Amino acid sequence: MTGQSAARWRPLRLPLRRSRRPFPPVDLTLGRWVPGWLLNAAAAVAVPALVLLAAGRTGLPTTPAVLLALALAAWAAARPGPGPGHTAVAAAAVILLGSTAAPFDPAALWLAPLGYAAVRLGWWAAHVGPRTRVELAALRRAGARDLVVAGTGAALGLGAWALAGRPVEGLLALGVAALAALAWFVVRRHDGE
Amino acid sequence: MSGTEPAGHQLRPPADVERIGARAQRPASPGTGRWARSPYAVAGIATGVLVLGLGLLTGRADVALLGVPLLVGAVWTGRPGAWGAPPPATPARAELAADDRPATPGELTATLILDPPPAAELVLARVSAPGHRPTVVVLPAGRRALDLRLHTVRTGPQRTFRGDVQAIAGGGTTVSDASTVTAPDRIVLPTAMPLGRVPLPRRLQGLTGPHTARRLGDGDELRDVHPFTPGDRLRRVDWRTTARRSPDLETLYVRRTYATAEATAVLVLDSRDDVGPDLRTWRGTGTQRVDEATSLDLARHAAASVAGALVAAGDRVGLEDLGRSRHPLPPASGRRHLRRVLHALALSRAVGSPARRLRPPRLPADAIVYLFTTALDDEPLAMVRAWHAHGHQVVVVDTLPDVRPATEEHMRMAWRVTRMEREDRLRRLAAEGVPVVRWAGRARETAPVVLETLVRAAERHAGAPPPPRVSTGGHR
Repeated sequence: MTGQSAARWRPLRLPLRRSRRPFPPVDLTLGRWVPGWLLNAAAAVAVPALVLLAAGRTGLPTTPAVLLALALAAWAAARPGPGPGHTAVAAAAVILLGSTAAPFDPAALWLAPLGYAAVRLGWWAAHVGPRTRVELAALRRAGARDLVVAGTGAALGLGAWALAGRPVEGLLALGVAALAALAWFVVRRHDGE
Repeated sequence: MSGTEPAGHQLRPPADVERIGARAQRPASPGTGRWARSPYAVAGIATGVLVLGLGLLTGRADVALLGVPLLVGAVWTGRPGAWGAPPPATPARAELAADDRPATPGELTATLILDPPPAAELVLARVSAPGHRPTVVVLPAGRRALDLRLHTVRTGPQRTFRGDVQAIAGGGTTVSDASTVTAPDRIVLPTAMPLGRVPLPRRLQGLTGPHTARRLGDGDELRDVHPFTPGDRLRRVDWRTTARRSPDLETLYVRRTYATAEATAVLVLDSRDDVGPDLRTWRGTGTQRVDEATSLDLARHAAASVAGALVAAGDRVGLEDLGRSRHPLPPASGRRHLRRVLHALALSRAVGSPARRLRPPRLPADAIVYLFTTALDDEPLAMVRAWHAHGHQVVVVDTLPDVRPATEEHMRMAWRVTRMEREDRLRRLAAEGVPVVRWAGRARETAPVVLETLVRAAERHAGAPPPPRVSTGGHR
């Protein structure tokens, strides 16, 4: 386009651009906050990272792991929700079965908190939009609980690491009983509700 | 209020806001208060059991460990500060309290008070307002007041805030139903631009006022010196003239003055149209922007400015709304009446589809008419002609905002036809001697100058200006 014709169209383009302006936002007073897109981005990073790091502990070929990680990242970015995070944890568990450090891979001590972090970031990504303002105090409050949960898992993991490779009679029965107790606990509280 | 803004300034955001109705809050949908387990908890339990079971079956504690945090996080309902809290049961409450007065001009404020149940960990709040982008925030749970603000240049009845609040228990395991609250509607009074002199009627009818009339009476303007007649006030005796003309005091001479009078103006607001610069909103679809004045906002602003100038000079102002078939506001003067005029202006808007008027509104004799219209149809033109035929002076204030060009071909064509018809109407009015003052865009800055020009032209027509039949706005 020549300079002359560009100058002729400029007065028309400016009002057109003006008509497409977004509406002004409602303003409100908040403490220090972070934009929601940061949490969206963190969720989209944490999910594939879990799969890739778990795959790094095994002899799994790189290509399938990367493809799976990319698919989960795309899922987490496009449709944030409970699906990507939990699928990544399940995939990481399956991948970890092929770990060369059997019977207990110490990487599980940080893979477990990372999996939980991926799930929680997925929760945040599903509940906040890119423009949502998340107060740092809210992140701190939720983060404190998440630290306790992850710490509990790590403590159990340390105990399991200490016992790994040693036959402990009744440990399997204890695990099954724990699962049954958990199922009963959940069903009792939420039957019919 | 009126008369505080330098002439030629941009349309100032509305300064005065009042609440409609007596209720300070109006819950639109309080919500049932039901709490439900979130899909995350269900997925967490399912995945945790699956992974834990896989680890147990394969005898791999490291694999089972991956499922432990998911299970703990999904089952445990505690949160920081209430580690052993049971699942929440009471609803999340919220209130929207509207402030009666804005903090700054053009700003509407309210306070959103959040009161989630003790077991809640986070609160998700979405605050919206017409013509604004909603703002979503995530806050730590706890009783809290959020100050809300929105900026608008619109006047008249305004819908304000709506808040949707949802509480979330520890770890997002359970969530409550969203409860909705709305703030009461507000009336935003129009502001006024200080004007200089504005045109007044040729003949003054009032018995007293700021202007010099043609008849005898109490005033400052000397008419003549005349022999004393019964009824003359003794303080009017001109002793110097009496001593010169009648040394033996057989005849007393008095100084006679012109009476003072007030002018009467009727503001006629054509509220049948309320169109903005965006053609796409003219059919009632789409949201009009709050940072752009519509034709009705401009009409309110112009009418408030003219009313302010007239009342400041002591003249009488009445108001007629073409969009409503109700009794007009009769002409009166004074600041309290100006307040009434501003309220009536703010409430002026078309109700339903206004019926076509068979006759133009009746006006007081010798009143000047200020017609605020978009001139998008022929009805104002017919009214102006009728008033003109009855001897009323008419000033038309064109309040159509600067329309943005449309991108759609059919809309561009429709606007082209409408614009040509409108320009034709305004040209005909000007040819018939009716002054047209544009009030939109940059033309608003020069409106006081145009009005001053009309005043001077009226003075020239009236000859020498001993009785200055114009009003001053009190700001120059």
